[in-house]
Amino acid sequence: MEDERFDAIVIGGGVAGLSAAMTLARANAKFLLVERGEFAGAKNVSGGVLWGSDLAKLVPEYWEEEDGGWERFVNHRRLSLMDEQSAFTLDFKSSHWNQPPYTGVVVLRARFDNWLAGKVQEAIDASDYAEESFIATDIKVDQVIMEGGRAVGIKTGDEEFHAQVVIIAEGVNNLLTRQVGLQTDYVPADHMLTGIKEIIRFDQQRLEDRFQLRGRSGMSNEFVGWATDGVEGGGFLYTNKDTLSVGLVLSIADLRAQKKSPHDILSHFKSHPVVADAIDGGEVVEYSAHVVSSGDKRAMPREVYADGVLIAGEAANLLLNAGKAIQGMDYAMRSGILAAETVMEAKAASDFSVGKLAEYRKKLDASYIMKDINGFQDAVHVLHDPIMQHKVPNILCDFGRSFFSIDNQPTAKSKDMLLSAVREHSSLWEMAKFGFKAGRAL
Amino acid sequence: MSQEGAQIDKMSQEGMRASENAENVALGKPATKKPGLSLAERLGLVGYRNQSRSEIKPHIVVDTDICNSTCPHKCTTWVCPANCYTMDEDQKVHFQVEDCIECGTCMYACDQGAVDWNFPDPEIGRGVNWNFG
Repeated sequence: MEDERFDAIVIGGGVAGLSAAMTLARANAKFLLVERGEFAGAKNVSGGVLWGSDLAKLVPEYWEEEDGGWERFVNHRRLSLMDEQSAFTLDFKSSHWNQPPYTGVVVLRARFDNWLAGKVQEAIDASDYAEESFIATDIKVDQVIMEGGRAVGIKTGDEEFHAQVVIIAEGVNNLLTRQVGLQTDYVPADHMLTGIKEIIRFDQQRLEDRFQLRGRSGMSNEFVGWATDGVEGGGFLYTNKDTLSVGLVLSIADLRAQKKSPHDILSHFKSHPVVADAIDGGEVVEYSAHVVSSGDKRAMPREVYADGVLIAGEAANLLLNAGKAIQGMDYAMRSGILAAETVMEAKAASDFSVGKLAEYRKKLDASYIMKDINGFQDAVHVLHDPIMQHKVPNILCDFGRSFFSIDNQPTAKSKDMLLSAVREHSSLWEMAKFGFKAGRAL
Repeated sequence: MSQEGAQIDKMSQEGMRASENAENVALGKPATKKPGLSLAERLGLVGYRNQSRSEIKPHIVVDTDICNSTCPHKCTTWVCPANCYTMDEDQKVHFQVEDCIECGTCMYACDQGAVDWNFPDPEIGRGVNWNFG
């Protein structure tokens, strides 16, 4: 019995689970990764940009591969504030992002996760447990097996598998995290969003010409304001190899309150003149949706570990959108790595007690993940504030319209244009207060 | 990937046409439809599992008695991105799991305890199989 046990069972072949698995394989652990989809990534959806350079640690020099699982690296970032007709855009493009390791890569999860799983399999094959560690697909975990308050394995159908530690990386719809008692059975809609998107295909050359892409370079564009039809949230447009990812994240509580459908708002977003021009002539090839957490700490499980259990990635609601970028997959990657490192340290010390597993919490707190989540809670609130969601985009678009319009009349001073736009949609006092709050939060 | 067969009894004509779309796309051929899609057309682009099975085990069970008696909003009928929840002329909520894309929205939106949400069984459930994700 003892020998049959895995060092770890990883539940979920997404970014968090695969990152944990890669770390375990490299450290010569005996583990089992189970994925309920037909292949790793088959069930997964993201916006999505994988930010930061952790991928280079997991798959060194991944950029050298001709047909790697990623779409494009980001060297062009845009943030657009929209009203009905206009978009006022903050635009930053720099060649300093052209060199690997890249600051971010756009991914499509059915491809990316599958590719990463292939890399993990290579690491397994090179490990001491080439015949005893597995990635198993088409396996749905019914239950985490508890013995005397400790998780000891998983149950799937009639089969049971046992391990020293169970790493739950099941994603945002964290049913097993709830089952082991770390999250409430019912998670309210308040801090949860629905992500919805279309993949729109183009001739690759046409896409590259339209967005001024060169080689594998890519663009990320986020949208605030009119995009969401008055519902709390935002929009995005990312360039893939020969497709665009175009979509929205929308507050579920606000959809409910405003009686609006996410797919109607997606059509609304696509009808905006700026978006319509960007997607013109493309062919929709997939429609998808997935819940995503907001980055508000109030949504998180009460703890990220328990006796015999570690929680990684979106299962722990590790996500942040503080206005700079939507970070979730990089948090999944890092937390998966940290969970696996915790397992390896426990194995080295022959101590899998809950006290030892608590090291995972310390590692997470010491990492940029919890530092940023803790440090930018106010920014999350500012971004979701109705002033930021509606008034600021309207003011900026009004200002842009006056500032950039030339109509052979005497021109007002820019300051007066801005004041007039502020008075139209808000007040100086409200904007001053909000500006102060936003300034502190960011 | 293409377990979808022509003998799918539960699918509408529209769904059928759209499933051809998904197949074409998987084969790298142009989809037959243009942008500005209806929801039915959008769902037609989704690859579902076990489409050749006439009977599937639903992964979501909805107690529509709650929806149709005490629920003050019936919000699932508009928040679901796959329109699995519909309202008839008598304002009664109905649920079908076939089009579900496993997003999870209804599980959070329903604050009345009517939605029992689970992951589909790989062999006898429905659920998605993304081409792009």
